[in-house]
Amino acid sequence: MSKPWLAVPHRTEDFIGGCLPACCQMALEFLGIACTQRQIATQIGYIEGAGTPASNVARLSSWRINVQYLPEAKLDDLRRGLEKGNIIIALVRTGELPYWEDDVPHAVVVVGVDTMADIVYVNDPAFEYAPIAVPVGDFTLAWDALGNPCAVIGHISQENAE
Amino acid sequence: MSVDQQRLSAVLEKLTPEESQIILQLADFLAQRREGITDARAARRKVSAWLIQEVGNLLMGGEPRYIAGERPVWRVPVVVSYGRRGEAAFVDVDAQSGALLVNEQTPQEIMANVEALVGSSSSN
Repeated sequence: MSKPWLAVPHRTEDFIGGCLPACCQMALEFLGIACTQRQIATQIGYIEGAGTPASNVARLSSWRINVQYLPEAKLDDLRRGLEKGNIIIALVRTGELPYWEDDVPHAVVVVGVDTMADIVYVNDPAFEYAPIAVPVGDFTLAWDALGNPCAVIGHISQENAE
Repeated sequence: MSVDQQRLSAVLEKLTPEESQIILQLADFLAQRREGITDARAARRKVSAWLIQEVGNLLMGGEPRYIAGERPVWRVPVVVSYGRRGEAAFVDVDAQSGALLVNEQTPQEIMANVEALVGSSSSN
């Protein structure tokens, strides 16, 4: 294996607070579906200032893809999801991430979990470059602060349906 | 009196009677409910998780405040972090049981406050 992460195309936020639509856009593009962040925001019921209930990402299934929202997942769920070729969107508190200076709720795409090096790789829509390597401990703190929610997104397949 | 007690006593003397009362109530509560108590961090996490799931992913629990009383609670502000920042509402967590004190209307009430906060920034 040359890279320990999925080659998910990176996109930055098109508007303030647009981290979740940007993450959804990355996931959809990875699955071969093109659409704008505004279209996604409308689809998931985005409201300025508040965003949307995170479980609304399940509405992406209208693009005929498999979306599972896990309100309280474990790091192993992320690793297993990635091994199946799924994209993971995790909701985190940035105050615990070493490369952030602000402390806000945020969404990132998890593209790799390297258990040997204790590194989680994320595509963070607030930054131009990707992926960003985050120590597992920092990622775990940031994720746990919001209860460990995530969405697992992939093609509709028998394996994903199980 | 031990050194720690002397220090505590010195701190209490600097507080207003109201502040001292709250501290003493908190200390009493902690002593009585050492088992199974919900701490501030857990209360904040619980509120943040609920906000993300039920209201909006851009909202987060702020710094909890302990409210003493017959049914002590952690009062957790709902922080708006994007656009105009501020506290739009608060959510209480039962300090004893850890239960979120919300009902079916709470998400709509919070959303109305957030929209008012964001709207007031747009009109400025």
